[in-house]
Amino acid sequence: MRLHPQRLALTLVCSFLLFAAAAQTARAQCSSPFLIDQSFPTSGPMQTRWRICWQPMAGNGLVITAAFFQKSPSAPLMRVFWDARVSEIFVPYHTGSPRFLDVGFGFPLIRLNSNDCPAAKGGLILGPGSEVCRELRDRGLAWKDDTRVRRGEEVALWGAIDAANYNYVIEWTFRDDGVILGRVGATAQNLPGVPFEAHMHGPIWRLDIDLNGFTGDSVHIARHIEPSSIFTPQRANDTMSLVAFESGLQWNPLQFTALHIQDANLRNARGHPSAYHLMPIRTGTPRHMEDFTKNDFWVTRFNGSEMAGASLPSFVNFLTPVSNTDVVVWYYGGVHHLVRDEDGQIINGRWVGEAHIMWTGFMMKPHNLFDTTPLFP
Amino acid sequence: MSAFRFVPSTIAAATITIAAVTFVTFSTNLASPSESAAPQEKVQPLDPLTNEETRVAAQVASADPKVKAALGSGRQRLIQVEFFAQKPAQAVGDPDRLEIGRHASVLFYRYTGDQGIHVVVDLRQRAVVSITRLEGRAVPLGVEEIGEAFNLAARNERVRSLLGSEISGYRVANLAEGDRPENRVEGLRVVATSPKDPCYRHRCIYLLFHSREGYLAGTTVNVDLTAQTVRAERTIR
Repeated sequence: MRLHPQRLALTLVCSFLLFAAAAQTARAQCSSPFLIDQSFPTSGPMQTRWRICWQPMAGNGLVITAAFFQKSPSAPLMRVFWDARVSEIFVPYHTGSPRFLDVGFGFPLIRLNSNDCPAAKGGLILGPGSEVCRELRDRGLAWKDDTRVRRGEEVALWGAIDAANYNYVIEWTFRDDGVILGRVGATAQNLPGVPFEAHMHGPIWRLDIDLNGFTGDSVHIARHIEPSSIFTPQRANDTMSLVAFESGLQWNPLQFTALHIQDANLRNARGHPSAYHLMPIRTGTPRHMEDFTKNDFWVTRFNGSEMAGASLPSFVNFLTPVSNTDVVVWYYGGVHHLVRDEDGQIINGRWVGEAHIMWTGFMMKPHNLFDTTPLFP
Repeated sequence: MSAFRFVPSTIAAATITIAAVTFVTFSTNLASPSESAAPQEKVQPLDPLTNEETRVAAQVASADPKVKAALGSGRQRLIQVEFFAQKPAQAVGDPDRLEIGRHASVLFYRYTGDQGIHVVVDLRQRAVVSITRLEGRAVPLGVEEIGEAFNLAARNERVRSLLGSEISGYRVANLAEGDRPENRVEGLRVVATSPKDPCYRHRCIYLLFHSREGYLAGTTVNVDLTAQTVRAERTIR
């Protein structure tokens, strides 16, 4: 085979032009500072990557308006979120009144400073109102096997909603292994009118999960069943049932209940269907008289006008199919705030003190997304 | 001997490549709303609304005859204008080439019937895309409503007796604008589930009074904006 210099040059020029054009299309759909493009590890050749768009929104606080994950340098960016937000925070007091909808007031995010988000700890303050902190963190051990070990990293975005006497920290964490963590932290001052009354803080997340694009998604509810007595079969089982229609579903701590979200066309190189597992991280289950608190998970078909978690029951039509379509998953968690002396006290008719932060949240874990162990030599 | 000959395969390869470059570049420009008809240059599809976009969205929604019909003739108000990422009719494989456009969600509340009117506005077309009715619970309270609630409370005898002359020193905080006066009134949204509760399907606000020393403890003030009533009590003596 002969090499023709001119032909080679022409091919190279054309290839460059094509590459340049392709590179132009590979830009994100949001701009700085609303774009987070984070490769891992933070030093050395890239292994995985997150590309995230975010916005500050009144009431919801910090909203993720897009999230894409790249599982290897040669893999394409895969959409995970179209939109992810805290859609409501329900705060009922134990005597029955008051009962607050804390997102339903349109509270803004608080301006942050270097004490909130120190650069020395991997922090970077973002946003037009300096309202969001981006932290690059060492997340401890990713895995360990005798003397072999790998530490993991993550990028976290957080902002704090100024909900009058309370602050709610809205945090989204994207890990180098594809895991996503959503948390809400309740902190600041007890309600001045009834500062010694126990209450609940119940965030409802609206997760518009569009795995590999917004069509063809399905949700399964996964349950782990142990033999209940010596007279039943002695084998433990893991079951998975398709959520066929819009509905509310309950979490059972004895069954490790989780939702599996998968796309009809997404498989790894081993031919296994890829999924994200939505797994609660919680200390209890907040049930109240309100219908929207009767379930821990809800699955609805996408509807852009359905954003408010407290209206969830009105969004659910039990005849609407949610299989192989564009789904939205909702998760309801809770912080039980038993008031303690450490929260503070009344001095001269004014509340003095701060309730330390209390968290609740969830994990979204990839399942058969990678072809083998990620972050592995 | 010349090392370069225009053999058919070379011409074909070059033609295909140039055509591909032209197509990709051209279609990129088409798929990039921020570079053509978007209200402000350099705004990307998923960037927050600009002030101008917010103004246009409210104006377009308020002027739309179908929105006016949905709002009716009773008492109503504009609650908020927010960014809205409209999903395109069809999915494409490349996430960067997805046509999202620029949209805003405009939310109104009508007191009659405790209803929300959710309007999606296409900012490039300056047109209303959809109108949806929501239950009142799905509609946040607006900043103006806390001002209205405080005005009602300030005229209430019970509130005046609980707060004394201090009440004239308070001002409504507009936290969204970073306005945090020392003596400020803040509000929380109350929801009622029982039909026996006066706030059932009403717009109710729980007022908090903050001064230099902190929040006033042991006093509750509830304002029902729908019924225009105030309830106040001392909870700690």
